[in-house]
Amino acid sequence: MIDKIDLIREEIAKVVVGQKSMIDGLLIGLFTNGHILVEGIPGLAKTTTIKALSLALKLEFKRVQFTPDLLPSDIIGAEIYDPKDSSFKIKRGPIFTQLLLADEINRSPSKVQSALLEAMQERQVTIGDKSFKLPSPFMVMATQNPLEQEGIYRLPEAQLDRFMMKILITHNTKEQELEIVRRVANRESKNIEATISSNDLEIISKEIESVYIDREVEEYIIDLVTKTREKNSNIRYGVGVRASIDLYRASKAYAYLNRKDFVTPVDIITMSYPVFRHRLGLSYEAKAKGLSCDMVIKDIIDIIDMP
Amino acid sequence: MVILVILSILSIFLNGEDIEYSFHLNRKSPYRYEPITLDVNISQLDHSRVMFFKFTPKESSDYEYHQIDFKEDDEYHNLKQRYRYIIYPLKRGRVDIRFNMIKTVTTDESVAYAISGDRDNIKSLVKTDIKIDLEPLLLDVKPLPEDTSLVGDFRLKYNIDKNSTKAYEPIYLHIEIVGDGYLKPFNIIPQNREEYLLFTQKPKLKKGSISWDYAISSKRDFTIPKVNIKAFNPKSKESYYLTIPPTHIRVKPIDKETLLDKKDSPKSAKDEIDLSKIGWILSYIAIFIAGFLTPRDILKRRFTKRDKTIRDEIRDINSKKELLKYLLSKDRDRYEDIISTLESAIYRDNKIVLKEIKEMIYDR
Repeated sequence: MIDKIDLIREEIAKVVVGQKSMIDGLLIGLFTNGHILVEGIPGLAKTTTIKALSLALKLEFKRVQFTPDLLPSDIIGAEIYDPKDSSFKIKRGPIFTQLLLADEINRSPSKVQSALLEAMQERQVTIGDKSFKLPSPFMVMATQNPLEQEGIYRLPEAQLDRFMMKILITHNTKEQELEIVRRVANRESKNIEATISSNDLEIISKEIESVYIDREVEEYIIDLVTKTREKNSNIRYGVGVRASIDLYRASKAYAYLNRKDFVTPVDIITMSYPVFRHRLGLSYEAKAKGLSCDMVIKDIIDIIDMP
Repeated sequence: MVILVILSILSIFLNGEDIEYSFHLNRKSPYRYEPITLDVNISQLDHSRVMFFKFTPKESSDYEYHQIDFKEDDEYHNLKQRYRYIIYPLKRGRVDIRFNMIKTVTTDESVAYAISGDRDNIKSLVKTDIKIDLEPLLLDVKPLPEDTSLVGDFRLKYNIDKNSTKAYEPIYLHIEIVGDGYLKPFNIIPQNREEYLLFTQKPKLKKGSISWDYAISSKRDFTIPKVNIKAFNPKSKESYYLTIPPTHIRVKPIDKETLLDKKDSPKSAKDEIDLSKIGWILSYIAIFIAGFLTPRDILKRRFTKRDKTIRDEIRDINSKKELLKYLLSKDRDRYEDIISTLESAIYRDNKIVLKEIKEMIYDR
């Protein structure tokens, strides 16, 4: 089944050049029931990638552009009065999909951001007095733009904690950029074909669950998590329990994507950055020193002995 | 109390039968400065009209008055006013207490019209003012015993903070007279004499008390003179004295030697060079040079050290696991294949030689 993942990658590569970390992140999120937060400047193929993923996996895809005047009912739906038979009918919002792209999520106020909370955690939506189960698999990929500091609403900690990983995407390399330019100039359009079925998705998820993780390596995860909570002049607050769970699942999935049947500390170290970086609260002192979350995570990794 | 009631004089006057007023004096022959109370009642008899009254005793140098109470039944057509005054006669013999009184007559319609205005539209009250001529009240004021300074029932308190001091260092004297009676500000301690210098404040006059605060200084011993105030109590008709005995104050002379500075302070600039200033200048120069050199040094080290230290650091690493952790921490993307090789060696027991791996890194 692992070969099918290579097929997915190949299909996505038809329209997206580079961006391996984002594609891997999306696959890990999809296979482990996690949600992904992507931060990067505009024009780095965020929408194209998730659209390509939905086509390659034959999943339903919807996109919501978050704006300051967006309302929770615009996402989850609402009860609408039908004058024909004088009754209220449920109009389902775009959240009723399998892959949801919440574009520029920090452009909307927190009440709209919070509308996603129930959907992300419980995988259900309540409209009026009725609750509806969301289709499976269900994954939210939210994007936020770091450059646009004006007119943004910072995501609350509770909302951030719902995201399994935060992936930072950067500009393409020189070679990748050249490839993009050539493709656009030649007006190449390639059709993406569905490579796996929903049944295959379930099998992959089960195979990931069966990836072996040694007790010493499990303890290494907990050591990293608890170290973030210890007294540290650079940290205002450490990561929560969801971080431990997500790091455990993400490390297994990452090992699986790299064709390993057991998890090594290298997988854990690699996954600790995207799992921790949006959950760690930096102190004023750390910000004054110009430290980023990744720098603080690196310091923590350096302190703890690798098994 | 019975005597007081007996001595009360009731005067009732009628004025054209539309108002009624009466005066009550508790004493008609008081002593000079003895307080007497005057009650005045004014009532409206003609209830068909709206009336207002203005009443006050006339100012005079023969007496002093203070209003202590006023009550009014504020009803149109049936106005009643009650005044109470304390009056102090200020001279002996005959004293006429005279009054001003105005009766204002108007109608309900005029009052209603007058109060219908607002801040920007004031409407005057259409009324008729009628001056009422009141007969003066006569007092036959009795003289005081000779040399009497105070009239009433008083006590005297005083306090001197010390009885010895240094030359020109003041001592503080507080005197207070407390009680019931007529009080006016006056000087209780004689003004400056040759033997001392007196610093004064205005006497503090409150209801039922008067107090003085003095500071007295001198260069030699002196005596605060005796204070002897003759007072008269009109209730008991007896004179008494309020006394402060003379107080001798010892003054220690000043040792002139201690008053003179024996050293120049601050030191004369001509005498010597101030080395501490040179120290300051040198330290400022040193800080400036350090501030100039430090960032240059930091930047230089930062740019020259990098590659050298990676090689040195890798040379000091003695295990594969240590090297794996180092590369993960340093640049994961750059050394991805080496990381993968080391990972296999450590966790899959693939055999590699550490030295060869290090050489691969050096070659990058």
